[in-house]
Amino acid sequence: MSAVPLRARPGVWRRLVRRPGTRPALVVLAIVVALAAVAPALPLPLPSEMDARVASAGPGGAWRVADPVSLGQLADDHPWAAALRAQVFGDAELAGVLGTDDLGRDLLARVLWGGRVSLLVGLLATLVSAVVGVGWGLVAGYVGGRLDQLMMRVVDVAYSIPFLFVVILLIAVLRDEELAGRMRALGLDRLSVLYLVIGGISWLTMARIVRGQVLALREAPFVSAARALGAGGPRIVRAHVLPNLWGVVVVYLTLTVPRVMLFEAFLSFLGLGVEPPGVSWGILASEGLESLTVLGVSWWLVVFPGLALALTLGTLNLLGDALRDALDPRLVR
Amino acid sequence: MITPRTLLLRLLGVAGIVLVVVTVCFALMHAVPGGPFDDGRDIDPAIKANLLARYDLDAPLPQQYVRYMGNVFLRGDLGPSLKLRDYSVNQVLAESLPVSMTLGVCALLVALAIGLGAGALAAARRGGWVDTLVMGGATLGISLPNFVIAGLLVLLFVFHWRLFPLTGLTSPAHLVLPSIALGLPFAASIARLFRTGLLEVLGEDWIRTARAKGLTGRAVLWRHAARPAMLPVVSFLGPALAGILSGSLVVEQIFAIPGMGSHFVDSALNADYYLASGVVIVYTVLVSTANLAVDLGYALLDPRVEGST
Repeated sequence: MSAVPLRARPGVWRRLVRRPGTRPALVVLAIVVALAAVAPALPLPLPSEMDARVASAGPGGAWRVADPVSLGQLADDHPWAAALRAQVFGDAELAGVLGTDDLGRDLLARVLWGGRVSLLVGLLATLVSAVVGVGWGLVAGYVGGRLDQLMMRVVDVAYSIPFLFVVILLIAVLRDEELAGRMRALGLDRLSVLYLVIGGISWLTMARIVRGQVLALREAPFVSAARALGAGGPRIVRAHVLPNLWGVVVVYLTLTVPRVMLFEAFLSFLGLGVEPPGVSWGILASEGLESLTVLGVSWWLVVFPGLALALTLGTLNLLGDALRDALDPRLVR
Repeated sequence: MITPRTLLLRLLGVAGIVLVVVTVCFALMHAVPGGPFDDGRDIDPAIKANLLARYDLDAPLPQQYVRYMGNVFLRGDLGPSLKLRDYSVNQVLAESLPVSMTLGVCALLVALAIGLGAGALAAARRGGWVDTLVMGGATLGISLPNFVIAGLLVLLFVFHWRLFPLTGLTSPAHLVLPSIALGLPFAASIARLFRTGLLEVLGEDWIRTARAKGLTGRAVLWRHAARPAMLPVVSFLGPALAGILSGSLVVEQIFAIPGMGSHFVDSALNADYYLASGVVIVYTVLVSTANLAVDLGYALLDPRVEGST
C-alpha cells in the first residue's frame, strides 16, 4: 500500500482530457447514457411490442404511425416521457432501424431500453459496493489493531471464495416462489436482489484500497496536528480522512462499473439475471446467439447488442485507466 | 525457496477455504423451503419420504451437515446426483472435469500465445502506431464479455465462412472457437502486463550491457528481458485460470460442450444440491491449488522471492 496518501491534485481534469482517446470516450459514453435515459421519449416502438409482419427483418427503418395501444401503455408507465414524445413527434414512430427479432420486436428499442436496465443495475451495484467497501476499509484502517486484522482476514478468505458460483446458487435458490414472495414482502423485487447481490460481492478490493489509504492518512502529519489540537475521531474522519479518500474511491468506482455490468450481463445471459419481459444487454446477447440457426442468420441480433456492451464497457474501462493515471502522477510514465 | 512448512500451511489454508465454501453451499441449498423434490407436482407423501431417505435428506440438518462434511473430506465422496438418476456426483465430475480442463488449458494457451506476442510487439514498437493499436485492442478485449466474442466468432467462422462446426465436442476442431472466445479477454490482460513488464526491464543496465555486446534486439527481448518481465504475467495466471473456468460456464452453454460448467448451471437451476456443491468444491480446490502452483513457479522464476507468504 502506498505510504503517501493519494489526493486530488490540481489539474486532474486537464491531465485527463489531454490524454488521447479520453475525449471521444467521454462523448461516446455520454451519448449512450443520454440515449438510454431518454429512451421512453424517443419515437420508437415499445421493446415488448411484437409484430409478426416484420419478424426477423434486417436493419432499415421507416416512419409509421405508432400503435395506439402501445402509446397508451407508455403513457401509463412513463407519463412525462409519453407527453414529451407526443408533443415533439405526435404519433409517428421510427421502426426497424436496427432490424427486428424473430417475434418482430424492434431491436433499437430493445437495445436502448435494455441499456436502461444494464446501466441502472451497474450504477446501483457499484453504489452498494462503494458503501460496503468504503465503510469496511474505513473502520478497519481507522480503528486498527485486532479489529483491523480480523476484518482484513475476512476479506482474505472472501477473496478465495468462488463468488460467481455461489451467486448463481443463491439466485437459483431465490427463484423459489415462496422465497421470492418473502423477498417481495420486504420490498425486494428481482432487480433489487440482483444489484444488492452483485454489489455485495464486489467490494473486497475497494475495502483493501481504502484501508491502505486510511492507514497512511492516519499517520499523516496534518492528522496528527488535528489530533493535537483536540479534534475527536468522528471529526478527523469527516474533515480530514474522507476528503482525502475520494480520489482513489472515484478511480476504483469507475473501474467497478464495467465489472459489475459484465457480471449482470453474464447472469442475465444464463437466464439468472433480469427476467423477460424485462430487457438487458445480457438477455439481448443471449437471444442473438439463439437466433443463429442454419435456417437464417439474423446477424444484427448478435452484432448490435454486442456493440452496445463493447462501447459502454470499453469507454468506462478507458476512462477508469485515464482517471487513475491523471490522479496519480507517480504512475505517469 | 518455499519451505515444506509454508507449503503445509498453504495446503491447510486450501482445506479451510473448501470448508467455508462447502458450508456456504450447504446453507444456501437448505434455505429452500420445499426441498429438491418439490417441483410443483403432487408426489405421494410415502414416495417423497422414500426419496428423501434415499438421498439422506430426512435427517436433522446438523446431522446431514456432519455426514456430508465427513464424506467430502474423509472419503472424497460428493454424494449422489439428485436429478441424473443412478449417477454419483463423482461419476458426473469424472466425465465432465476432463472436458472442462481441456477447454481451459486450450484457452489459457490461446491467451498466453496471443497475449505474449502482442505485448512483446507493443513493447518493441513503443509509442508507435502498432503500440497504440495493440493497447487499444487490449482495452477493448478486456471489456468484451466472452459471449459477445463467441457470438461474433460464430457469425464469421461458422455461418459466413463455414470453417468450423458449431456445437458439440467430437473433434479437435470443435475446440478452436470456444478456446478463442474464452481466452481472448485474458490475452488482452496478459498483453498489457507483459508490455509494462518489458518496458520496465528494458530500461535496466544489464539490458544495455546485452545490447553492447552486440546481441540483436530480438535476442535481447526474448533471452534477457522476457524472463523477469514474465513475473507479473505468471502471478496473473492464477486469477486467469479462475476466470477462464468461470467463463466456461457461459462458453460451454453456447457451444453445447458437456463440461463442468453446463452441469453446474443445470444443477443450480434444478436444485440438484449435491451436484452443484460438488462442482463448487472441485472448482475451489482447482483454483486454490493453481494459485499455490503459481506461487511456487514464481519462486522458481525469481530466486529473490522468499516463500514466506
